[in-house]
Amino acid sequence: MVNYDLNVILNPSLDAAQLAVEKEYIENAIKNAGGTIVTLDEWGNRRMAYHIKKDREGYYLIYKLEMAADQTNAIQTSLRLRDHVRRLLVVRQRPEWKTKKEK
Amino acid sequence: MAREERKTTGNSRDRDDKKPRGNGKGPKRPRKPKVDPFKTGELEVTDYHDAKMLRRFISDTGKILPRRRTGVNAKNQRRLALTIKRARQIGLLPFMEKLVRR
Repeated sequence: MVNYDLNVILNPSLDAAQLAVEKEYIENAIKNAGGTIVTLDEWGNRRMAYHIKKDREGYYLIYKLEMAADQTNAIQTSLRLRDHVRRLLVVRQRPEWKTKKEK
Repeated sequence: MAREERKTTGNSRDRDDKKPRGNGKGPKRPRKPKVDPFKTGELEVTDYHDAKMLRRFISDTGKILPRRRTGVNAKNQRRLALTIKRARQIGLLPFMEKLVRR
């Protein structure tokens, strides 16, 4: 089991119901790939450094996951099919690279 | 190692000793040794969500700054570059920014 970050940028102009559908879809995709959600960080609408699909804003969802290493592609392919998912980035966490000292 | 621990006093002999200076082109310039903020444990290299921190390491036009400007050591510079590129992918940092002239 490896820890991953799953960064999703959604369409910024979704209403609450649509948002719930998207989140459920994402969570199902994670579950189907055998992953478990450790935390969900929801940034909400945030201004980006450049336009994505002609919008300067995006709805940010940051999941921290734990799952088997060969399952990331399964999540990515299923999520990329969604129209409201505009950007997806899966990053493997590197705790051994951390430099900040905890006090 | 010794470079990080040296005190940053205003001593004129105190300079960045990466390259031997005094090649006949201009006067010798004393320079304060730069400290790698990642090595001292001040900042986190792997944190690609912290756009504000990463802004320190890119130029006004959005390029990654060379480590001779920022003082980051070689290992952390490689990791920092990866972190900046990830932040760009999720729209937290610009790939390029127009330079505004007044």
